[in-house]
Amino acid sequence: MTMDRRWYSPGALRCSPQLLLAPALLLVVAACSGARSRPSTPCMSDAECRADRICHEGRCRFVEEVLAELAVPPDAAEPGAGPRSANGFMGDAAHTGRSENRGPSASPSPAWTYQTGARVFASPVVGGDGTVYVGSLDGQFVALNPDGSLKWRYSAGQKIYPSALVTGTSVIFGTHQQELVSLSLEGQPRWKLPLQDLVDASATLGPDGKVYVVANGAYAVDLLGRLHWHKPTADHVRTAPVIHPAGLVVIGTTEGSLVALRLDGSVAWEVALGGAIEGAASVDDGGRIYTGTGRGEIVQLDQAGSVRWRFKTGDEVRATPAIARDGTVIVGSYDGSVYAISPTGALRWKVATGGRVRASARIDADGRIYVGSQDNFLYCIDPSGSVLWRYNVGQDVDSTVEIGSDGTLYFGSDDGGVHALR
Amino acid sequence: MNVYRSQRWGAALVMFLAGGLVGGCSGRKQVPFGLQDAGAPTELAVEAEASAAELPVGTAFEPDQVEVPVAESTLVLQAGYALAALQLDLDGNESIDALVVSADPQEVRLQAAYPRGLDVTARKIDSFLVPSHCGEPAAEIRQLSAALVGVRVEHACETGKRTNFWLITIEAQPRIRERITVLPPNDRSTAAIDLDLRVEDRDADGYDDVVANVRIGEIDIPLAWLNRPGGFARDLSQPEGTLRELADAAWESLDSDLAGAKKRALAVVDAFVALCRESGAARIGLSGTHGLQCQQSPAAARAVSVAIAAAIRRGNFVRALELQRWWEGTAAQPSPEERELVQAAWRKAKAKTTATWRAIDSEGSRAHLYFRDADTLVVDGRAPRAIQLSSGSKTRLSESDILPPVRDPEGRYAVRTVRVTCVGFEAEVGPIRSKQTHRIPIDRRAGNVPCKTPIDRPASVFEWAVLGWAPQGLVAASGDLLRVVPLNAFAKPAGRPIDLSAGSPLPAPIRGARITADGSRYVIPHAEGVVVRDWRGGGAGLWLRPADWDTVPGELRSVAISPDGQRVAVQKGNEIRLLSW
Repeated sequence: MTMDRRWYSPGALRCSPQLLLAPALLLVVAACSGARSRPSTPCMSDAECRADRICHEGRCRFVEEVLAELAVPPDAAEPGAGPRSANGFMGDAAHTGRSENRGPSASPSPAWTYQTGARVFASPVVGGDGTVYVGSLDGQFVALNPDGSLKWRYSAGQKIYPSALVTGTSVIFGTHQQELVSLSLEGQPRWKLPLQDLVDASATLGPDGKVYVVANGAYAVDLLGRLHWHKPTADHVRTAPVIHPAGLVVIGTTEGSLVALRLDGSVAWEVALGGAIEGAASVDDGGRIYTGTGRGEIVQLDQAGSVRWRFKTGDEVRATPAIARDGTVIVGSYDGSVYAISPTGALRWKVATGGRVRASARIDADGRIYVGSQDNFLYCIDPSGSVLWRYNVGQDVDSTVEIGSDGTLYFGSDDGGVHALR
Repeated sequence: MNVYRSQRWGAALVMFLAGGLVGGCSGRKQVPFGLQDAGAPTELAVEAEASAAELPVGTAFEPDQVEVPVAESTLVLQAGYALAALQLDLDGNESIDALVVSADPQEVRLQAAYPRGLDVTARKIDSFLVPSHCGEPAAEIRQLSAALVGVRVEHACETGKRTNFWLITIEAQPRIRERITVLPPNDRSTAAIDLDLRVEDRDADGYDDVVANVRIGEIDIPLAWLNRPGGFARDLSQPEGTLRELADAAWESLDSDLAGAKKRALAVVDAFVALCRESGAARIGLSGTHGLQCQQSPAAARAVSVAIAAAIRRGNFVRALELQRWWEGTAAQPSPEERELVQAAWRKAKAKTTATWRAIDSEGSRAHLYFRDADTLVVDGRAPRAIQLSSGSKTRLSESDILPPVRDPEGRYAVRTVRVTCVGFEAEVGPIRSKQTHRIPIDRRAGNVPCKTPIDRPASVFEWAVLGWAPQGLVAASGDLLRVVPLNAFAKPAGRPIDLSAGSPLPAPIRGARITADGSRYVIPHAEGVVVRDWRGGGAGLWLRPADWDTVPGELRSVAISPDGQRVAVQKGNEIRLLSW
């Protein structure tokens, strides 16, 4: 052991005379030549390595050293510092649904369809390089090239309902395997965090660089997969957490409560709205919170949790309200209509579709609204409520649309297809 | 000195034996498992027969009952609520006592209750903990014989029915003679199990033995505890005796009734898995131990060989391979006769009639084969080379041109081999340009059976093999099982392995010689041919065995599938051949 320390010590030339013994002479010369500058203990597994070193090729090594040798960008393996922005469900952490990209204003044509083996409920999410990420209920999570070809496929073994959260170097999503999975952009697992329940909703990146996700309550996880806190709730939670600029994580529960947690996991407030909350809430530019309920209401609350108004639709509201740039709230209802409601709670317009509207709306840079319906159509509606076009997908569209930088619309459908229209 | 001591011990032995003989001739009955003598065996037998019909059955209570009547008094439970009680005279003082089963959400308890004047004194006999995912229990308590009481407590749990049994002696301080647990179904054992306790004289020695009739699917297996001096001894001839009879019947009917033989054989296998600890998935527990110790079961080995042969004859080759993997395990060693049955079945198997092959090269030593593209086969042997399949031209390759076929997406690590160790099956993985390796568990050893001697050998073709490496990790196969072993960028385990059901999407793209990049097809080598499994088409297998398979001497040493899944390259003996169909 002593020999090892001296052998790897930068000051090995000043070592004791015993080391000058003939059998060790060559080793000492080699050590003193600067060939190795760090101690590296022999090992068989990571557990034998102290501190944050890993066992790599039989030696305990620091991750940065190994990465440098392997030419992997350091942030690819150590994203702990964490990006502060990401693309995910409804585009941003406030779930406004707004996109900086422009979708088609005229009736689009199908660009491609990638077929999965079961319903695609999740919204596709586009990464920085144009890769489309989406999970399916057949348990596969795919990364598709912009031309629709398969880049890679991950098999979760269980259903994937949530949309992905794509950060600078990771793709994060929950599964019915009761775990939160983080993959590299090349599809290699970074970490998996076992949770105590199924994950039905998308994860959201908070302003503190932590990922917030729900299952049997809310969890805060850093980008290295370390759990910071878990706030259990009475029952399973199905709404993606929305981040309020006042430092709140807002979730809805199936018992009908909207709960605001501080970033440390403590409860800021809880308000019973009546009727299960199945869709995620959203937050407008003024910090007002919107959510739909099982009673068919769209509710506006202030950041203290006080209800400002309620707007009644004809049936359950399970979609997440999108917020247009002028503050108009766009949301579909199970009564088959898409509603536009002013920030004061007045109806601006509504568009009737032929089926229930489960999908949330997306709004492009020109204010055009894209939303799917269970009447098998994808609708494009202008900001004044006129239907610009509708496209027959042939199956229910419960997946929220993603708008690519070139205007391509990506969405999933009940026939297992991931569709691209442009 | 030593002689003197021997003589003294000899005398003592003679006196002891003589005493035993006198005692034995005195007419006193053999004391059943430490109970007080209850009279001559004949009297007991008559008594038992007479009272068998009217043996009392306990009372079941509603879940909110906390007071249990005992004779003229009442036992008030200190915790939980009563499930059932049986009134009987435990201590022989002619007053009525009771055995009481009670429960709370965490625990089920068995108590003896004795009236003492107006009060009732309770004494705990035993208890067991209840898993949190189980609901309200139901209990049944009944007297089995003059000396024994049986208690059955059943919980409906999320994973299925969980049943606990107590076998209790009737005496002043009742004792538990056996605790039996029947666990809910698990991944490997899904058969319905029912268990019924009864008392009968199995060995005709005049004493009541206990029989637990275990019904697994459609098979009844009588597990017996024989009443012996000093206690009960489990009859070790079961379950092997019953399983052997059934396996022999399946064997006999293989030619006359293929479907019936297969059904019987699989029933034996199911019973073995459910009962025996060696299966790693036993669902019967005795006195805290998990599964019966069945050792290497010839009955199971025979049943599996019948099931393999039946699967092959019915064209279900992947299922046959899966069974053969099980058969090769330690729990069931087949006899030469059984091995021959299976080998013959493979030889006669209905192969794809259009399968043909042609020689493309030869190699004296074992070579690794892989397709570089649809038209180029790499032979990594003594003299590495690439063969252009369309033209037949060969190009010598340098060491640096050769890449291990199973390597990670960045091409930094490769799988060297799969080894069987005390941990289980492990993939040996290491950097491509280094001799360093580390091991990745693919399948851990089942159960808690200790590894008596260190094991470290290459896995056989019937065991686990790594087919390829996808971004998600290794894709490993064994028989009809396909498993993803997640690995991170350092080729270290990144989460639990995921078993994929047939047809469910495989991770992609996959790098490996024996699987296509999209995972739609992979090839399984076998001594008698090759199975190509169409994963996307629901997992069916195609048996490829050209008519002149046996004319090429030697064993199958290496296989590779083309990127389009339409051709297979094999090394059989010293020949390298290309199979197409």
